[in-house]
Parts: sequence; C-alpha cells; structure tokens
Amino acid sequence: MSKPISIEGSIRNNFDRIYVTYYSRMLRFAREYVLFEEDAENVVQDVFLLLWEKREVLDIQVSLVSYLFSLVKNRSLDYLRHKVVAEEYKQELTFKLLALEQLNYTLTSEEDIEKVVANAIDKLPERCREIFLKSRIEGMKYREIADELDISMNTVENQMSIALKKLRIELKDYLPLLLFLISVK
Amino acid sequence: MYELITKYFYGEITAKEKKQLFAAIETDAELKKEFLSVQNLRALTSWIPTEEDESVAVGKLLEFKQARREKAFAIPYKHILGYAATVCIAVFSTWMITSRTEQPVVEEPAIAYEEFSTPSGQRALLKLHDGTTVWLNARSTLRYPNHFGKNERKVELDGEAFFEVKRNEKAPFVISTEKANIKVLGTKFNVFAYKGHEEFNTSLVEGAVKVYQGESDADALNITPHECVFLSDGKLVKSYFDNSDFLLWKEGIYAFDDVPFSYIIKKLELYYDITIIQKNKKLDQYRFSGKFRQRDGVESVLQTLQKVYYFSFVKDEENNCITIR
Repeated sequence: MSKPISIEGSIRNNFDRIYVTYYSRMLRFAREYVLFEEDAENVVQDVFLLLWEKREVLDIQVSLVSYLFSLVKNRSLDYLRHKVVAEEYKQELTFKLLALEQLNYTLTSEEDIEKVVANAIDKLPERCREIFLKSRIEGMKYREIADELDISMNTVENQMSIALKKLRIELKDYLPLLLFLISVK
Repeated sequence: MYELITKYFYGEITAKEKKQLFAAIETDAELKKEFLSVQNLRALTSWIPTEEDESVAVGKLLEFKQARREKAFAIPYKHILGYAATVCIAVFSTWMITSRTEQPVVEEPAIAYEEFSTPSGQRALLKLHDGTTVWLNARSTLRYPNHFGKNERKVELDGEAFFEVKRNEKAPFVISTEKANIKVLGTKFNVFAYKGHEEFNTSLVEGAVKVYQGESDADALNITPHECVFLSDGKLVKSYFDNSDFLLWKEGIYAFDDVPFSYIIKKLELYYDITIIQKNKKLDQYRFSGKFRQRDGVESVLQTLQKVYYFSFVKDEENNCITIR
C-alpha cells in the first residue's frame, strides 16, 4: 500500500507524500505518551511545521523514518517535560516520560523502525500473530477477537501475553532493560 | 496487577484501579518494568501502517496546506483574504490531490479555480463554501471557483458525484459535464458523467433538477424524485428508478442489481483504472446482483463472482490488466 519514499532532492518535492504516509503513525506514537488527543495532534503538527519551514534546506542523512521518529519522540519528550499538569496526571506522565526516555531507538539507528517491528511480528507463531495484529493494529477488543475467532477469552489473553513476551525479546535493543536501577524521583 | 496494565492500555481501567496500579508501580520494580515495556512496545508497533492511515492523513494535509496558504496571502493580499479558498475538505481514502489555485490579480479579486481529484478505487467528501456537499466517486474530478458568483454557482464535473446542494433561490447551482448540464436550486442527486465514457445519467433523490444539453435550459428535462435522465443515441431521455442501492458508493459499497457481467466489468475498469479482458463467453449469458466493498479491491469482487459461476482470472501486474477465462 505504501510505497518506499526516497528523499533524494529535498523534502519540498515529497512533503505531501511524507505527510500522508506517516501522519497517522506519528499520531499513534505521540498518543502513546501524550495524554490528550489534542496535545498529540499538536506534537505531530509541530513536527510537520518544522519540516515545512525547513523543506528547502533540510538535508537528511539518515533514513527518513528514523528522522521522523526522532522528531516526534523529541517533541513528545519536550511536551512531557514542560507540561505543568494538574496533580492528578503527574504520576501518569512521569511514567510516560520515563518510558519514552528509555526508548532507545534514536537518530543513529540504522535500521528502519517499521521493518524492525514488522520482522519481529512476522516471527511470532501464526495464531499468536493473528491475534496480536487484530488487537494492536486493528484495535479490536479481546472480547471481539474471541468472538470472531471463536476461541475463549482466556486463549486470547494467553496468546497476547506470549506475543508481548516474544516481541519483547525480539525488540530488546529498543526497550528498557536496567529499570530496577532507576528510581522515579 | 498485570491484568491492570492490559486494562490501562485498552482504556478500560477505572480511576480507582489506575490509582492502585500506579501506587504498585512505584514500589514494584518488576511491575514497573512490565509497564514501561508494554508502553514502549505499543509505541513501536504504532509505526506499522494500517489501512485507514492515509485516508485520515489526506484530510489533515489539506487543512495543513490551507492554513499555510492563508498565512502566505495574509500579508500582500489582505483585502482578498475573504475570498481565499474557504473550502473545507474531508477525504476518506485518497491522497493524490490536485489542488491548484491560479494566482489572483491584486487589483480586483478574480475568480480562481480549484480542482479536486480522487484516484482509482477511492472516494472523497468535499464541502464547498456555500454549504453544498459533494461526494466524489473514484477517478472523478470536480473543478470549482474559490468563490461563487452572486447569480450563479457553477462547477465542472468529470466522473461520478453525489450532490447535496445548499438551497439558494437567487443563485442556481449548475453542474456542467462533457455531455449535459444540470441546473438546480437545492436538492440531492447523483450524476454519472465520466469524460470519454459513453454513459451519462443523473438520478434525483430529493427536490427538482433540470437537465439540458448546450448553453440554454429552454428545452431542459425537469425531473422529480425517483426519476432519472440518461443518454440514448445522444439524446436525453427520462426514466425512473426504485432501487437506490447504486447510491451506496458514497458509503464505499458498489452495488449491482440484476446486471449483465459485461456491465460489472465496465464499472470495475472505470473505478479501479484497470483493463479487464473477458474471454469467457459463457459469462455473458448471466446476470448478477451483489454488493462489494470498494476498499476490498477489484480482485475481491472477481473472487466473489467466481463463487456464483466458475471462471478463472489472471492478473498481469506489469500491464495492469486482468484476463478472465
């Protein structure tokens, strides 16, 4: 469905295509850390604004996805760090901030994040992968998956936890490891 | 506690449980590790594309561009800002947008035209600034001015569209197509008028419309709801319809009601921009009825039809061509 984007030349010629291809994914990503939909949209909007303003001069040396990933990650970090929030969200945001700070995929990563994750998912056992994709990518609830596949809720839960465990091993380079050494405050 | 993490990420957690979970995370390092890992795993999987991604983004891109364009106009052409395109467009599944604006003249706000096109296999909803909404079917182009004149609202259509025209007695809404023109005050109706395609028809759902060829509407055909006009030997002919399923394309469904196989093939070629070579003569004897989801694509339609009367088909990706045997 999505064609690979080559960014030879400038961002200018490819701005529309980059926007359409990556907007939704970046929004989904920002949404994971930023608490409110509106703020998540602002984070992504800011990223594209930056790209737009620099479209004539920007010269990206790393892969485009890595670049966009860093932009949206950093913008989300800024948001979390600077957001003066009501006491009720403080704890939640602290965890989100901590998680994002430890997300190790950075500008220097050579692999394309989309491929890395897709490969990891591909390695899951078939049934497990099917359930994981329905849950995570199609956004179905466990109950709905159980009904559709005519299996028990328990099976769905088990398969999901297997999927998460396996993915965690596959993607360990990008996930926090030494958590017990870090305290929240 | 671990099931609370699942609940949290599916948005099914209660305020009380959330408090409980967060308190536990503060003290339990393993639980915290689990939480942060699931959080980041979710974020990483966000980068896997989904089917709806691009459709959502196209609407957003247009808003983005619109905002940038208005800003660019704001300084030199302040007085024409009111005319700057105020068309709000929501798009469902397209991204090849041609939105060209001819540069307005500074002294006198000239009419600039905007053009909007949908690619094959997709559709779009446009809102014009007079409040009229237009659904555009696959491979259709609507050309409209960035502001309508006082006495007339004129647009050009190449393709299929469903109009819900905002009522304005003083300024009739005129749609010109390759084969005929349609004049209305305010109604709901469908127009099928692809350039270079022999078929033309317009079907009225609500209100009244006039259909005519050429500049003058003196000899126009007036139609009322459930009536339609089609082209026969170059002449406009009035008829009627009782099944409105063909309008389901707005919802992304292509419906066929007791039509010959060749008719379906023709529509598929048109909507999906593909060549279909039909070599199975037997199929031409049968008539088909059915509803298909636009986004499932042309192959899915053929696979379903295969189940009714068996035939085989091969797709030649290189030449964008399907051969049926």
